[in-house]
Amino acid sequence: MKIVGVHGIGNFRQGETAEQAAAHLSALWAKRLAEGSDVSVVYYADLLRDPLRQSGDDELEDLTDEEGELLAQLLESFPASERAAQGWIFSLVRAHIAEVAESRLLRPRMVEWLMTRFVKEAAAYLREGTAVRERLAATLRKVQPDVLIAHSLGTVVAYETLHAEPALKVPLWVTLGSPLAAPKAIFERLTPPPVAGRGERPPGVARWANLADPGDLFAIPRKGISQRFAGVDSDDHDVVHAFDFHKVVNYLQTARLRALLAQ
Amino acid sequence: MSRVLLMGVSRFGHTVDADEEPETGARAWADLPFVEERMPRLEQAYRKLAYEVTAVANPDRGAVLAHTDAALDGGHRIIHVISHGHTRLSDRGRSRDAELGDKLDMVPSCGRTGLGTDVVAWVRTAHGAPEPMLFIVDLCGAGRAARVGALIDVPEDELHAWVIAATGPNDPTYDGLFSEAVAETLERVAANGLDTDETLRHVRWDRLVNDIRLRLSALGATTRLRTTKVDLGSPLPDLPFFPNPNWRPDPRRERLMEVVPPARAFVADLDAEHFIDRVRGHFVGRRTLRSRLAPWLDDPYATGLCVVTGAPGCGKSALLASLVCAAHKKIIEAAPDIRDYLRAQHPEGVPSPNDALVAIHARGRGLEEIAAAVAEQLGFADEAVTPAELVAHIQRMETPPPLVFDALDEADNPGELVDRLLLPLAKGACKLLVGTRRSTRFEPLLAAAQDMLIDLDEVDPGELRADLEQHLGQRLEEVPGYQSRTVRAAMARAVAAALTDDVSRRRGWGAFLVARIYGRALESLPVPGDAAAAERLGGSVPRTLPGVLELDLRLRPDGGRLRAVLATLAWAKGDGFPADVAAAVVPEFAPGLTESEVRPLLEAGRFYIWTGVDHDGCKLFRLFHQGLADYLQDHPYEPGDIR
Repeated sequence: MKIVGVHGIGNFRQGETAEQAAAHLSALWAKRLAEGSDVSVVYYADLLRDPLRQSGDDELEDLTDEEGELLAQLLESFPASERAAQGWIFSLVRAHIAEVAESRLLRPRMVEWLMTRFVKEAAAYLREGTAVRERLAATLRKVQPDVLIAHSLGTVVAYETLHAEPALKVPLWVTLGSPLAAPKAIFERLTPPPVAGRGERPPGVARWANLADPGDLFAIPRKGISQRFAGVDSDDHDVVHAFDFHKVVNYLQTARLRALLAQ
Repeated sequence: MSRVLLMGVSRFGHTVDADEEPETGARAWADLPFVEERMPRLEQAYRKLAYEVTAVANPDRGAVLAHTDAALDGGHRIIHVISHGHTRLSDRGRSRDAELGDKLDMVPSCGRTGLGTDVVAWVRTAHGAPEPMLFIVDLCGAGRAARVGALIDVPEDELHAWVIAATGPNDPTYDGLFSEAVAETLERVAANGLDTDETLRHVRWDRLVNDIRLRLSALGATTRLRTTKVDLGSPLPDLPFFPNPNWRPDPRRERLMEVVPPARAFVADLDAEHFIDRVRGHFVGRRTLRSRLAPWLDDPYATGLCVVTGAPGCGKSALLASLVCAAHKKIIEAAPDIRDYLRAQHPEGVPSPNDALVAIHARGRGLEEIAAAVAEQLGFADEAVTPAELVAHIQRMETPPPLVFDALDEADNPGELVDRLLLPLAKGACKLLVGTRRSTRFEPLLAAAQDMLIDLDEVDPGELRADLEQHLGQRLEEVPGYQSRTVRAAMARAVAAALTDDVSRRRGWGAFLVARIYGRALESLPVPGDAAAAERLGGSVPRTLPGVLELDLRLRPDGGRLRAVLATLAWAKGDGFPADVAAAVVPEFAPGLTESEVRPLLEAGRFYIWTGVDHDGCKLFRLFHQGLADYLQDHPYEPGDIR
């Protein structure tokens, strides 16, 4: 079975070229998927970094105003105590994130990191994603896969790529931990834009299955994919309670995914 | 001792196993390809400044530790780093409370910070070294290294760890632009020492930092660099990081630099070359007046206001300066040869050295600055004084100190200076000597002087003529071709007579200024063969400043370009323009003239130019006389040049 994969956030691989990173990711996905799978993972994390910046970019303080706004929109999906925030204030955002973390028994700094990475990479992709989509499209044209598996931010990349190039045929598209339905932060910013509050299965996709961990911070809102998009064939939001929902391997090893691929 | 450690990281090794995903919360550092371009240029720039450079590309943590240890221990002068900067805990399992605020790691090529990578720790260690060290930190968050808590209270002259950082303590930096700017500045230091005056051994800290700042913004950087904070309350120490290529050891000039600027300005020109020649050319004549004013200054019971006035170039400043340079204790200590010369010429006209004498050259200075400078010279500088407090203070003194103010008309807001300081002083039984041009706004002051109003245009024409003759005679001794004493004498006599023959003209331009420039023009005119020819030539001297200036410029092959340079300097405020500023303005008057052409012209025009030193050590150029500046402001182009 020929599988193309698209990774999610937080996958920048220090010290590796894009080719090396793609090869390593393909191997590690293949190891977790069924025997005999031919997996090509598209690597794009390198395209979302600012190549000139002389520091890391994974602290709240590193966010630009634009990215801060995106984070504020994302956080609207998480209930918070009553507070009157005016503008983009670290301490308020930090307190909000700490509440999110507490409600999910996660470490606040981990949630901060995840939120920051998501916002940084999503903002970079939404700002200029052409090169990222080109990489995926090129791989899809070359491999002609049976299945496309996209994780996290990768589902946004796949959605827009497949809509932009309807000629790309994908018999089965599996989205894992997808933020596609996240209101304001992602959903309203998609290209093509949703019509009357609904998105649509890309024309080249025959079947669309969504899997989500209920603990996944970015797979919001619950059951959002099937509610907000037409043509979703299955939307399973109780996959696992993974200890580390951020890692794709925890999705790749689930029985639900195996079952989907076996159909 | 002159060694630099230069470390740059362009590539970061892989940190994730090939078949693993990056851990949640793991940091990953992107490569910095631009570092590879910055390093060779920096290395070369440091070498041009005679530094021995240890350049280390892509050190891992162990290498960073070993190299900085060697540099901190082995007396390197400078450590310069370019990489990612990191200010947080590497382990995200712990809360923010576990972080140390005062920390800035240079990320090594292995991506793992730890022992040896904290720049703040290097800075702290360097402070304990026997000699000052400089850290040039091109990292994100670099400003942390410039604000080390433990060093905040250390006085500047005891601080041994100095930092220039690319950006603020919480701000990013990009593309190694800061290091690019530093390289440009270093190249300029090698080329011209950033125009630092030749009295200074090293390029001053403020000048250096300011130049890097300018280069950085010229490169389009949006970040602002940060440096070690300096206290404006105390003078900056002479920091040994960048030797001044212009430095010429000149003890007299170095001593003069210790004199407060408003008093220093009375010394004709600070330049070492021809110093005594210039003293001779400057302080000539006015024997009668000097014999009258010197005893008055010396008399402990004499009070009152004396105002010296007259046309531009009539010699007001020279007269006042001859008194100040002979009596001001600090100037005598710095340049005793001026007093010695004046005493040898005319002992009766030389006042005694006086600790209490205050000298203020008001050109380009405002009331507050002048009040502060008076207070400083009287030795109560520590108390902040208003002009009214200053007047009251001086009135309470047992012996009235002589207060000498020159160039009143060139002060910022002279009216305010007269109303709030000089008139109150004059009314309060102080001893005041003021030099100024005539102007209606000074009428109250001139009236207050009563019988002590000295109009140099009204002095005995016989004495003026004799003074001019002596001045010119001395000047001609230096002009090539004028070996014959009879020719010299005839020429001097004829010029002096011509410049004093018409009383009505004298209100326009001072004879001394005209004579001085004519002396310069004679260098380009054919030397007369005998006394009769000398008399004819001398009799044809232009009677006005415009006439004699145009004559001299016409005679010089570079006259047109020199005129553009002088016209530029005519607009200089205060102590003058730096060379680069002048070079930037000159094309307004001579399109296409480049900086490399302007610099030699500033030297060629030395006759018309006095130099000074800016507060940051930069050499400044201005015209030697305000009358010249006024004329050139109105006539920047050659006559007949219609623009």
